[in-house]
Amino acid sequence: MLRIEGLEKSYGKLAVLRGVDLHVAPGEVCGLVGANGAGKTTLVAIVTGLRDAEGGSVRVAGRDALSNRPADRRAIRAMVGCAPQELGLYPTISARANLQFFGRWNGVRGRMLDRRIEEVCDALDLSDLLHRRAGDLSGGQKRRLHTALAMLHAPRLLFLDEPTVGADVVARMKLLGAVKRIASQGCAVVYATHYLAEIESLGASVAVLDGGRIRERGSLPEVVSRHGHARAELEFNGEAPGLEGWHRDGSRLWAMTADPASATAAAISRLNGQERRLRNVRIIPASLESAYLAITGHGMEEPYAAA
Amino acid sequence: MLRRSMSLAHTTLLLYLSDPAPLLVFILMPLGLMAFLAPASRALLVSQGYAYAGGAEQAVPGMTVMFTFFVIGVIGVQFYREQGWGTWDRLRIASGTMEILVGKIVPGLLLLVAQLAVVFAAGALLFHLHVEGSLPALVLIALAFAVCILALTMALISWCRTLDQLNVLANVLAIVLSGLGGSFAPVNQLPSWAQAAAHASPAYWALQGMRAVILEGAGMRTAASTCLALAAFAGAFALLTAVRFNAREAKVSET
Repeated sequence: MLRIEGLEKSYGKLAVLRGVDLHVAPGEVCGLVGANGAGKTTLVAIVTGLRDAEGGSVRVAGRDALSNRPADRRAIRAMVGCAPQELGLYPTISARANLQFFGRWNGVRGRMLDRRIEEVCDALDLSDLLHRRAGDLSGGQKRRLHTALAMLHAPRLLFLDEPTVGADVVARMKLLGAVKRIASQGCAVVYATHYLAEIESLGASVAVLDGGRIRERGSLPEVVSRHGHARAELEFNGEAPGLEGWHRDGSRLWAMTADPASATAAAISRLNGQERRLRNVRIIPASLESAYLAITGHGMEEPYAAA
Repeated sequence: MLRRSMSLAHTTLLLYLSDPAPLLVFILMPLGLMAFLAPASRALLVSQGYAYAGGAEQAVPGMTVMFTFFVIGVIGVQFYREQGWGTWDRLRIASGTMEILVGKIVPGLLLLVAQLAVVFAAGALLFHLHVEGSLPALVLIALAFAVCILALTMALISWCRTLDQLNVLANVLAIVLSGLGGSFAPVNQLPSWAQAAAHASPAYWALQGMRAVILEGAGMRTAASTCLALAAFAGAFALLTAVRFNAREAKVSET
């Protein structure tokens, strides 16, 4: 559905995208993760036609998204939905008026529009808020309305840029459910977020954008097994003893490791009698968060315990 | 394309109606000023040989034209707010720039025409304006002036990066151009340098045409020449817009 190859973009001397490759299939949810300023928003802006690229290619359902041909632009606009990071709604009119307008703006009319508003509002728990002015909604409610506006025309490719910012737990669950549902209907979803737990909850594939390139791409289990490390913790009565390769934090020793069982056993055997003060052993399994930190190099300062 | 643009025009009208205060001010203020200016205008017109004049012949078109300039800010704010509200990009993701422009310009024109019509009609009724010449000619001049002001609005939006810049410039232009054009007093009462400079103001051409119709019984021929002059201004403003307008430019709606 989406094929990005060698995409490049700079702002002055600052190269934000340096040859990004990303393929997303119909029905796939792709979790796009990266630090602030990594280029996620720029990537979305280029694919949706808001910014120009300086190199590379972007194809949406086989059509050239960087082309200026009116037929390509029209076709891609009809296929793409986008909820940018910044909220985009009219605060002085009702939530319903916002939905009706953006539905029509995206080519949905008449009974179909009424039906889509009902479906999307039901999925995002907005039905009771339709009569209220958009500007009077809470931050989380505005975010859900903003997301609903992008889903109204049942796009084939949907970009959601940090859609759960400011959302409470229930709203977040509703939103994740709506994303799963639209993906199950064949929509390719690019889901940019800092909340890695959401990607795990969505069962999404992962694309890590760092240094202007996609550093890692794959299914969640693949990425975690390739780069994720478990965290092993040993807790003592009193101050923890020093141990090479392990970090001491008050009464605890901890380390990141690919093989937590062996690393823990090896550590205990090197405690030289201090194991009698050992109170608790805890192993936290490898997660996307640990994989992300390893991929981007931000976790390198943490101690690593070999088995 | 047209259906989308009309849909945006409808929503833009809803946005205007959701905060009607600025427009109401620009309808009531000129009516108030007409009450102040009409007696002085009467004396002036009588001294110029219009013995039957009541003062409304100068005050009504003068204040109407002046306050039409102030509507530039009301229309402009909708463009800047689209960016402040994040809806500008949302519109651009789903459609081309021309559809957006048509959807924003049509309600702007309706607003200008409505303000002109209400102020002129209310002023005429309240201050007993008698039109010697052709009423359709007067309407035609007013419509041409509305189009000209809309073109000026678009040029200012194109060149001003912030809403504050637009408002300051629109207010200064409203006073300078309408003053030069004869909103406060007939141009022949102004200093000679101002009389020469008046030709550079679209308000001058609009007011000269209106004055000819109201006081001297002129008709469609005068309206046609006035419309031609105003069309030239509108063309120049449209050119300024075409040179500078960029849908991707970030506009600042708040300081």
